[in-house]
Amino acid sequence: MPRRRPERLLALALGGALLALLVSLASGSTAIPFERVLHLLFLDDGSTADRIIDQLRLPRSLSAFAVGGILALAGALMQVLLRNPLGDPYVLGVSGGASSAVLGGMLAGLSLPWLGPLAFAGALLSMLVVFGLARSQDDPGATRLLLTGVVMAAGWSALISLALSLSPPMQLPGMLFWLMGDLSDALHPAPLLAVLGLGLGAALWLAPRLNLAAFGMAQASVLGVDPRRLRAQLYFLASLLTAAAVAEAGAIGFVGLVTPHMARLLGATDQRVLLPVSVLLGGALLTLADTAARTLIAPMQLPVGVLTAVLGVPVFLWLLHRERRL
Amino acid sequence: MRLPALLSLLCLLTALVHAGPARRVVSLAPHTTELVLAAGGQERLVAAVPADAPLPSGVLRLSAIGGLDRERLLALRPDLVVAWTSGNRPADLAWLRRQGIPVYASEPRDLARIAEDIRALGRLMGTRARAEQAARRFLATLARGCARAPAREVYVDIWDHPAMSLGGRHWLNDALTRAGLRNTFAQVDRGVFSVEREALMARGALPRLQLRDGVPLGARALGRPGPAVAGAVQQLCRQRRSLHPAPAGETGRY
Repeated sequence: MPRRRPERLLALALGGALLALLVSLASGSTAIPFERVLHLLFLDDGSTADRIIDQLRLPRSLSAFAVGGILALAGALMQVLLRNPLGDPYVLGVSGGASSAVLGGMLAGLSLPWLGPLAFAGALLSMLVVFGLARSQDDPGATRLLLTGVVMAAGWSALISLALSLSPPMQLPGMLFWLMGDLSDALHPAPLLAVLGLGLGAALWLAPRLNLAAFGMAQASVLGVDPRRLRAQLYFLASLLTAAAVAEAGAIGFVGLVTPHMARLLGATDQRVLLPVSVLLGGALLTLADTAARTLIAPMQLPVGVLTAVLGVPVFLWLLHRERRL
Repeated sequence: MRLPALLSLLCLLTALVHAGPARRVVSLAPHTTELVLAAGGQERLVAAVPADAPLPSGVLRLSAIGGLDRERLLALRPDLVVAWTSGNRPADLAWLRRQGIPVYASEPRDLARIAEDIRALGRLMGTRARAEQAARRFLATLARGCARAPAREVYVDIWDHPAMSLGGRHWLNDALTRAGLRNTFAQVDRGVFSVEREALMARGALPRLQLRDGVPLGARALGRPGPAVAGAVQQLCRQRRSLHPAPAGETGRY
């Protein structure tokens, strides 16, 4: 595949993201003609269709886009931090900490408004423990951080299994939906979009140093990058982004792992292009997956985390097949 | 005849052939404990997963959570185990049968089946007369329901995050029908399922029947297919007029 010019690539990704949002707004278990959807976006007429668009489809589509973008960004940062193509937002145990905290809270009978903050607290705790343990050596290299995080994640997943085996049967479906990721209650997109904007801004500010770090930290430090500082910045930025996404939508898998690779396969190499393209692709992927989750077998709905993989695997394999360079 | 029904009949026959009435009965689910007690098994019960009512003194409380404690079960030397087909682990029930312990598995698909379970347990425990009395009382209470009144459509609220409701494949639909109510998702071929909110909003304002903890309507007894369901159906029937429509599609938060 010829290397695309950065502007063309960004335009392509932006077009894809807008298309995904339009498809999501136009799709649902209630048939609303597309012109009427567009009309209702800007004008309120108090009808049921109006409430469906304003209170359900629009906030949910934007939330899905924001969560997908945040996860893709966190995944791209983790892959640079760990110098490992298998890096994803959850590999260092951030989502495990969040899930353990939420399942513990559900077992203790905490009500819904507590679960988001609890997830965020669990994610922060896991993040600090991993960083604290890895830092005890002078310079926490990527391998040490990866091992600490992976072992921590394994510990959390054991706690999750314990919580599931101890929970009363009535609570199990709710817990499983949370673990697989669920956007049915993610109806407040504004804070998520703000997190996405701030995160992308911070990541773009780091991007020139990330480009240098791609050659290895040793080379980068020769060129004036402080590796310890950059690793800490990357680690905290990626972890905070992941914590925000998980607190709102549960642990939605696959988006964070695969979209940065999709952006690379489409020709993005410079981090200043790769990061925004990943955000747009991740947002589009999750928006489409969530549209499928709520429409395929309506009035029932599927867990969105399953559909991100169902949609993402063929797209990724097709891109990989076309691109023989990797 | 369906397979589960065949299987329970088979178990019943094995149990009947197996020497006289059961003397040491273990119940592995809350609703089966209620069924055993209703069938006159107070003196027969040695261990049980408790329901709402306190267990007779001397009966060992079993935990409803996790798999079966097989060592403890063997130590109890039961000659009848009453289990819940979809609530207990199939591997545990298969193990019990391999041990030669008679198992009566209960899985009521409708409310009439609860009376049949009570009668069957009465036959197994040698307490036919009391079981027959309890079964008749149960059916008589049910018959005083209000199935003939025009049905009100309701949204059954099982869980709020994610929103979960009831499809048509559940004994609760029978309870609702007898209480003069109609489940709005009865045509969905599932038991409990996760509801897509848009489908709910499109149905307009519906009364919401909440079947979670802290429910109004004393609907706790509707949580399991035991003998107390008959009373709960009657109560629901009396209160059906006072079910207020929630704003269109409103469930849980928003």
